[in-house]
Amino acid sequence: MLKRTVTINLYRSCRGVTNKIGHLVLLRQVWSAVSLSREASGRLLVDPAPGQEAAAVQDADSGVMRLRAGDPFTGETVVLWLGVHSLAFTLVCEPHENLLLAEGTLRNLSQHCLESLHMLGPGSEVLLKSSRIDVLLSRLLPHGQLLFLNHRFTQSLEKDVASFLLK
Amino acid sequence: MYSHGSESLINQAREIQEPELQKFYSRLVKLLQVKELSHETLDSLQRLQLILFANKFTKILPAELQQKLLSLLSSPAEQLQVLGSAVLRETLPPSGQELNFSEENLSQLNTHAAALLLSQARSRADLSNLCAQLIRSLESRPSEGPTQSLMFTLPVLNTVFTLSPECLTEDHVTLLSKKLVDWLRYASIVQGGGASSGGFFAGPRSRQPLPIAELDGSVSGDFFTVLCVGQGFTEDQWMNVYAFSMLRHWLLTHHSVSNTAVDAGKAPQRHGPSIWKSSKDTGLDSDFSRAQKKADSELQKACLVEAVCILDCVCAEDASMVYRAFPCMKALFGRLSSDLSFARVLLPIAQFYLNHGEMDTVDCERVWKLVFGQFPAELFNDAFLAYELLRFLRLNLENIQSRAPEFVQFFPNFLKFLAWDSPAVVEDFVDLLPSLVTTGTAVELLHTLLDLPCLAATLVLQLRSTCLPIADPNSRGLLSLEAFRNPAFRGLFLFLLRAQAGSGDTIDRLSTLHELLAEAADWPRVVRCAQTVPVLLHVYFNTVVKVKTCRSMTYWLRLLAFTARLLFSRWTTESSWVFSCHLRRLCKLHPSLVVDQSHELLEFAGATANVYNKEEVYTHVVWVLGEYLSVSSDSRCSVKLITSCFEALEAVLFEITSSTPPPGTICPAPRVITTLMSALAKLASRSHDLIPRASLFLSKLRTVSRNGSVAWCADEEDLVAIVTRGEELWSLLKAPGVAQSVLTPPAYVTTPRWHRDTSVAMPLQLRALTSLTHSQ
Repeated sequence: MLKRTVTINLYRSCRGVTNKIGHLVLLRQVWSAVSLSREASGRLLVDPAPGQEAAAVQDADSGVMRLRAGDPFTGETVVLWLGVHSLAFTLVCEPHENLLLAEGTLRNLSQHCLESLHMLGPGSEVLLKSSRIDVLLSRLLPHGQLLFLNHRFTQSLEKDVASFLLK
Repeated sequence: MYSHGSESLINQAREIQEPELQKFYSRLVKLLQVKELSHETLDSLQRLQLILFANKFTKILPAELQQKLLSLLSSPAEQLQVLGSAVLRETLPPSGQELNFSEENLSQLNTHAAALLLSQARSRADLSNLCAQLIRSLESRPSEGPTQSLMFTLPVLNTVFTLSPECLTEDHVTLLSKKLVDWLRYASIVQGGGASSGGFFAGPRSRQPLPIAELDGSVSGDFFTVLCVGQGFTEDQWMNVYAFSMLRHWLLTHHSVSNTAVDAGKAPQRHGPSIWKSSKDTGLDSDFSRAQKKADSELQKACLVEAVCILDCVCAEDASMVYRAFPCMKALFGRLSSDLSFARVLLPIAQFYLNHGEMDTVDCERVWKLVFGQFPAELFNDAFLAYELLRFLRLNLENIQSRAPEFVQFFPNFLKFLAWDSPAVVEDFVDLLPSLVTTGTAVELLHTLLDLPCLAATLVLQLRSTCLPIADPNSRGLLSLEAFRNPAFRGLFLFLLRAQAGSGDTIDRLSTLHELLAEAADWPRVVRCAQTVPVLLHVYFNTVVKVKTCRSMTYWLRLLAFTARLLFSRWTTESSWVFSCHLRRLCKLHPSLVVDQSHELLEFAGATANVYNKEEVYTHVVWVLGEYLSVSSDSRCSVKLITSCFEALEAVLFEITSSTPPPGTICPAPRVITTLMSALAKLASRSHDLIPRASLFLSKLRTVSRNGSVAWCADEEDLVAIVTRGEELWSLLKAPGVAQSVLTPPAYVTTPRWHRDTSVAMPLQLRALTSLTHSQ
């Protein structure tokens, strides 16, 4: 069962201007959406091991949620979520954005977060290595811009990120 | 995984004391004075960010530290830029220390510094300034600075005009439009750096630039598009990707700019044809079957969606484009419509048909059939499609109502999304449901809403029966699944799964269906669905009152008797509350309905069993009868009708107050008893012949309960309350004139104008009445 949701602050520049309370509201909504979906699907979760990030993302359940204006963002927003075991990744989008692209971007980002922060293993790297997330976002979702990246472009960015992470 | 270690780290960060924090700040300042980048510096910066993030209130850092952090933004090490920007975004800038980039140091503006600038921009002037500088940097091509400085420019600009489209001047819009067209149309079609893999021994020949390829490996045509691949990419190819990614938002925002004083809207229109050509090439002409990677095939779908949406935007701006775009769209629809895996691409195409496809009625028919018919029926369990389809309906409601009014008939289909995943789409249905209530659909819609939990269970069975082979051990033991597969019950399930309305409001064998599905009552999906039913009933009744169709009104009054048909008894409380609440509102609006429907209502109110198992609705029906069965509500109300109603209610009241409750039930609620007594008194006050009978009953009640305990009321306090009410009513009936004016007040009393008519005001009457009863 879902123990805790980690909402990775997928920094979408100033578009989703929100305060920390707003973040909590969002976190709660996502948490309940993921729990309900898990309960309904009745799937059993197997604890994943480090190194199985790609498979974990493939198996992850996902969904979409509509947040009305003012709850908690000023305009209406769409929230995509991806539940990977006891973690949930969310991406807040504007209603006009391309959700197919957003879905792919969220999967890609989630997999990179899991890998580069070793989130499937024990430890608390996610808190003290958050700059890695910033770097990932600056390449794959720069200033919140969803990008149409084919596998060659993605590889090229990944190389760039990898060289940063090696330092 | 998120561990206890993380939790204690967060707690430490939250509980850090001020002196300790100050010490930490000064240590960090010292660390930052050292030129080289140490592990300790990075770690401390990370900790500082965590402290700032974990605390509720935004902190202001010491000026010296702030200054040092600002200087990190132009550090050559990206790690320091990232951390500097991340920390500063969590703080408030002290006045006078804003980040500033002018012509001279613009080359130092990197993506991380820009993120900080955006998060701390305080005025439109700040943003305009940033915009002007960024656009100037775009102009000074070829770029002198590092490649990256140009790459982040478009996303930053896109963010700026999301926040405030007015930041761009007319010249900016024109210039940027031109630039976008350049990147989209004229990006180089040879591979970028790293293309020659010949290495040391390679001759000059192999260093010839290679042409870029399509995803399937074939050499691509005249255009570079986001679906082109190569060993490496040139800067303008990267900009092509960025430009295509922001193009639609640019068109949408430009549209709103043109409505303002800045009449800058012409530029993209002039370039319309080439934008159209670019987007056409990006998506529409690619071959889907040969895509190498799954991610790329997803990307192709996303590109198709984008290209169709962009064409839609362009056609909305320039109607002359429609005749060029339409054949292309028609061909695409023809190619994709048979493949449900392209459903999410077909939705934007449907949008295009809705906006620009008036002339092609034959194709439109096919589009609507697909979107309203096949998609919900076969893809009800796709959360994303559900969201997008319901959004399509929501946003285009007026247009759909006029272009495809038959969509209303598909409500049983749309409700499948709700039955399958109620929490995710209930908001959409709160918005959509009112438009589905029409004179023709009202009755069937009500039935369908009440049967929604059954539909949820049936959808689960439908999926299971296709997933699990009949011999599968998991499917054995599920009685409902066997029933679902049993041809004898096929008709029942097919009725629930119908795509369109009109094959009858409901079915006769509902109770059979309920028995078959009994084990589904606690399936999570069914429980969630049942929880949303009352919410939707509420929306439904609010709408149906406005739709002036008496047939449905009288019909659903009759339905009251069937509230028990709700499959899952534990949720009936909420639903019957909604029923009762709307019954009251409806009768208040149309009091003559009570006379119209008196036969059904009396039948319901005269059945003693309803007191025990439909208490909520029963109480309200009795109240409605007492309140509105009078000549003042409807002139057709005869003495005979009042008398027969009095007799029916009297019989029930007599029965429940003279015997113990039937086995298996608890005592009737005191509220039912007092409501019955009040209704009797009200009816008696309208037909004075009945007063002695009412008085006799009320006085008997007092005598019976004098002993202090009765079989029909377990609580002593309740009994006292009941008896007191009885005595009050009894006293009131002793003065029939007063009783009538209090129990059946004329209309003007219930619409208070007390400040104007002091002499006939209700408070005055009550005071007079109090003194009367006290003196006796």
